[in-house]
Amino acid sequence: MKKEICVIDDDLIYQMIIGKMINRTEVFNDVVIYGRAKKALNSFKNAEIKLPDLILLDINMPEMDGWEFLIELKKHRPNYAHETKIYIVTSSIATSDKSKAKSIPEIAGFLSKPVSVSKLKELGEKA
Amino acid sequence: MNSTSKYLKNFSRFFRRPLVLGIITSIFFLTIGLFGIWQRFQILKEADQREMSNIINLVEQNINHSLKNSYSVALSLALLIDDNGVVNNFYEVAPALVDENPYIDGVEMVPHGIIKQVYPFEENKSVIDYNILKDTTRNAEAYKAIELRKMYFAGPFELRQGGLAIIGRLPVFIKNKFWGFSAIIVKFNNLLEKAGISHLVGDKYNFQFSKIYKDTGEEIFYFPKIKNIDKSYSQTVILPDGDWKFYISPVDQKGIFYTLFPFLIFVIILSLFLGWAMLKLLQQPARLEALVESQAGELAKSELKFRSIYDQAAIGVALLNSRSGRILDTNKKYRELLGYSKDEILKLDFMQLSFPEDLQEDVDHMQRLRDGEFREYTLNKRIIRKNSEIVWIKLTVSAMWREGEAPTTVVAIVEDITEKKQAEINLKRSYQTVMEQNRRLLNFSYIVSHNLRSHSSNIQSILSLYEFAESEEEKLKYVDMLSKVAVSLNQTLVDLNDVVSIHSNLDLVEEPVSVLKYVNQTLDLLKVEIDKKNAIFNVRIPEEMVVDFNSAYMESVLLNFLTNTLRYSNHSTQLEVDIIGRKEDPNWILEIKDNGIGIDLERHRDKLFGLYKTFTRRSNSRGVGLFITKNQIDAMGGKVAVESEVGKGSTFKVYFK
Repeated sequence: MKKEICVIDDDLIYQMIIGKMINRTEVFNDVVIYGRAKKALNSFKNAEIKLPDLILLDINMPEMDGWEFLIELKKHRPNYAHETKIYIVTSSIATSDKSKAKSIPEIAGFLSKPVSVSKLKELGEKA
Repeated sequence: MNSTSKYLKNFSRFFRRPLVLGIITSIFFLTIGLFGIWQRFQILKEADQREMSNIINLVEQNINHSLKNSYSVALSLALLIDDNGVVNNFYEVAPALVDENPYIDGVEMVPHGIIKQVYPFEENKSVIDYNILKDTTRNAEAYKAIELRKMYFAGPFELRQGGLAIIGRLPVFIKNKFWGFSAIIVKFNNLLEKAGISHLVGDKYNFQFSKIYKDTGEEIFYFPKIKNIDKSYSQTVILPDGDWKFYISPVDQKGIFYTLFPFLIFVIILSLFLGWAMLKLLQQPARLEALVESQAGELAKSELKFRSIYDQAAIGVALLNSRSGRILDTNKKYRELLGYSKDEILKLDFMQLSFPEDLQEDVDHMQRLRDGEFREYTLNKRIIRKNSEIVWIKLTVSAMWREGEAPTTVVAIVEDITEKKQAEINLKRSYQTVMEQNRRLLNFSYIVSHNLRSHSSNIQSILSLYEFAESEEEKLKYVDMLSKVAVSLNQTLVDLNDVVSIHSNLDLVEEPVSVLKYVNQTLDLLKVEIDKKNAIFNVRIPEEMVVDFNSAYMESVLLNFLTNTLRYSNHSTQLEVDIIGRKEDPNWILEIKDNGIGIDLERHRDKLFGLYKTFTRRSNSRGVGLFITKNQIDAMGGKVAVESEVGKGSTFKVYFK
């Protein structure tokens, strides 16, 4: 059975690339991409809606960044970590971001861009 | 008068000398001791004399007894003579007289000076018919007896018949006509023995027996071996019946001296000891005095040393009254530090010298010191020199009273730390600068890592997709994507270049810039957009508002703020912007206040001026403008602040240097 995956990132080019890559893995259903974290949050707020198996979350985004998104999501769905696996995917290699990610237990992992097809496949199989 | 008192003074000083007093003490006790010994000597001597006197009296008595016996015997013999001058019954009577009387050794009848009868006959017969009156060597004493008309003892002399003896001759007169003598012979040894001399005198005394011839004044001694009897230390008795003199004198005259000699030695030693003890006793205060004097000398020396240290010290030292704060004493360095002369500074108190802002702390500490909370305090403060210069000092104040005593004075130690303080300020400033630069650098490296990497990772990803592209059409799509990445990358590089140039441009020209002029210029530039939005810009900037700023930066800063007001306006309300210039002494402030969409400062305050931080959905915001604006203001030494409320508008304030 194919997994549900969702990407939250404001980089338009990245959105296109990640879409293609996810298709290539053939372990996911069609990807849902949010360019703004706020938009994604709005759709996840409703507790009746099932969360995707996997969320790839960017940090640096205007309006609401990845960290804020996680805080807000927790407000609405305190146990989201049981329903989904959230990976931070960022072009940042700053250790401050990495250690911050580690300090949040709900985060399943920290990935630096670029992400390879094989890595995505591996995540899909794990999820 | 004067010389007298001087003399007295010298005199008394002489007698206060320990050595003199020691000697005087010795002499004093020696005198007393010698006096005692002398007294003792006198007593002993008196006892001696008394004993001698007793002896001699006994001897006299005994001799007189012998002589009395002789006299009575001679008288008895004389009674044998009848009126016709005939001696009757001599040989019957004489033996009885001589043999019965131990005191006499023989008797003679000497009619007309011629010895006619003698008893004991045998041993004396050789003198029969010897005419003593005719013998000129012997007759003087015979004649003396006749002259005296009483018994007179002649001798002692060597008898013709042998033996030393005395002869007592009693002149006999018949009808007042000299008849002759009745005589008795007493051997000299017998006389002495009967006088009891040997046992009375014993070994202790010498005796001497002499005969004085009154006509010639000659004195003949009978014990020639004792020649010079000490007449001053002797007792004598004169026996007139024979013109004899009897002397007695101690054998050993120095006996008493020997008895007293140990006492004398003792007295001398004791006196010397007492003198020495007195000397030591008197030297004690002198030694103490000398010690005190030397200590005082040391004290004066150390006082001098302390003084010179105090005066030459490289830090300021002052003595102050803890109550009034008045300065009581200062060293050279202290006065140099404050620039006052010695006379001037003694009229001041520390409150007058203190920098007003720092006074209260010092006064509070002083009070607590006085209250005994602590014994010492140290603080850094400013003081005002005479020439109004402000000097930073490190002040240490120590209580000079003992714990529990009433507060008196304090010692203030003052060190000029102006340079240190200046260095500290500089250090703090450069630390801040470094920290600021470091922060910027970190920020920049973050930007580089994030923004450049986002492009590079996209390129990598696109290329990996391109590799496995299934169709030409797909490949073309990837190439198109790559060109988009290239454009973004280029934009990022341009932005970064802008940022870097702000800080790397070291010789930026700062010049006086009229803010009003530049605001109007910028508004002209934005005229088209302002008109399109129908926005109202109220400019209230005084013409005299001139600040030191780089003109290009001024343009850039104003353009960015004003563009932002246009870009983030509320669609529903007419945009109104107040641009106000005012002075908050001594600096100028420019306020740009709009009624735009505002910013959620609670969420975004720390990111507001960051690079690539955007807060709205408006796609034309790139997160570069405020970052560059802030950096430009910083570079000009200014500050920027913001107040904002979401939906109501924002106010940006620029504080010029």
